[in-house]
Amino acid sequence: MYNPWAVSLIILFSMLFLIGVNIGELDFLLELGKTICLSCIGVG
Amino acid sequence: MNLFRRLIQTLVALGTNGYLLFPFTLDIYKGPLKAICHPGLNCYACPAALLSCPVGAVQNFLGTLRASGGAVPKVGGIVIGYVGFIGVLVGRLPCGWLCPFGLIQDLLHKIPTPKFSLWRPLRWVKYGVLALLVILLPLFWVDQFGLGEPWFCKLLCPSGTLLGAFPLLLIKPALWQNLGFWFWNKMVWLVLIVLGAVLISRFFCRLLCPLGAFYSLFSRNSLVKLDFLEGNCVHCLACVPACPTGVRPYEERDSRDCILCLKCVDACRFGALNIGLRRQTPAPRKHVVVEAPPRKPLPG
Repeated sequence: MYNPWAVSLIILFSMLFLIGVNIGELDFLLELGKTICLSCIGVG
Repeated sequence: MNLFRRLIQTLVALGTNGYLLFPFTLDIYKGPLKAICHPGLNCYACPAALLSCPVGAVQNFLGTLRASGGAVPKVGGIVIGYVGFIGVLVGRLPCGWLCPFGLIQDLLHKIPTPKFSLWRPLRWVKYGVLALLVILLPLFWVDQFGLGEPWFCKLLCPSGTLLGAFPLLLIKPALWQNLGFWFWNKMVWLVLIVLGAVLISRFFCRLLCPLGAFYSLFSRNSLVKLDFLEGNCVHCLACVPACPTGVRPYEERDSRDCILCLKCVDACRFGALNIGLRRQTPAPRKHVVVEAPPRKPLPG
């Protein structure tokens, strides 16, 4: 029997991920990745 | 094992920063892989980066949360779920095996200089960085449109300066005119962190990395863990100098600083350390006293 805490957390994070996919966070992430983020040079 | 780990680190670092067309396109990679996050700290402003950075992505999700208006709020569940899932499965293993900035620090620490150890209470600083720069400031310090900024990226991130800013400034010289106080602040941090990594093993991971801090929250519950077989340990202490993060495996079980690099497993000649799966601890057995049957008298 595996640690029940770990199993519960795996279920929780899987749910979070799936909810994120369903509300369109994947598109947001993709758009974010396509934009040149200038924070790396301390701007914006 | 260490050679194998170095090979994996190198392949992951090169493979996830494998957009080699950027010197010709003079642009960053904008393909569909950017919808996937790297399990380590890897700036997605790096023109060669194929994947997104989880720390940068979470800050941007939180920074736009208050500007979402009536729309469904995007809290970054896709990123938190992804890194949380990895953390529960393998703890800080991505720090030891997959993080490109971890590899850079490992290589920097090979430069022959006097080496120092980190004052242990400083390990808690990274949780402050995670809470303040990655969560609280992007969420609450917003402009008139309700937009927050990715403060960790803007203020501190050495991976962003090294892998993002420098190549970006090379391919887009027009950006030079935008450089100001925050860029030079980041340059100072980069120099300090590089010097720190030369003198102290995994300096940034142990002191400042918010992703390592997040993964370490699951070190006590992760399915994969470092097993210590007390019966095999002869207290030779060979594991202590082998550990890059200053963990003493024989007395610190499930340490939040352990990055599962398995150098201690290599160093132990008695098989006292190994990688294994965490199982539920069985409940202690109750002692049951069984009354002995009355002795029969011997015949004769």
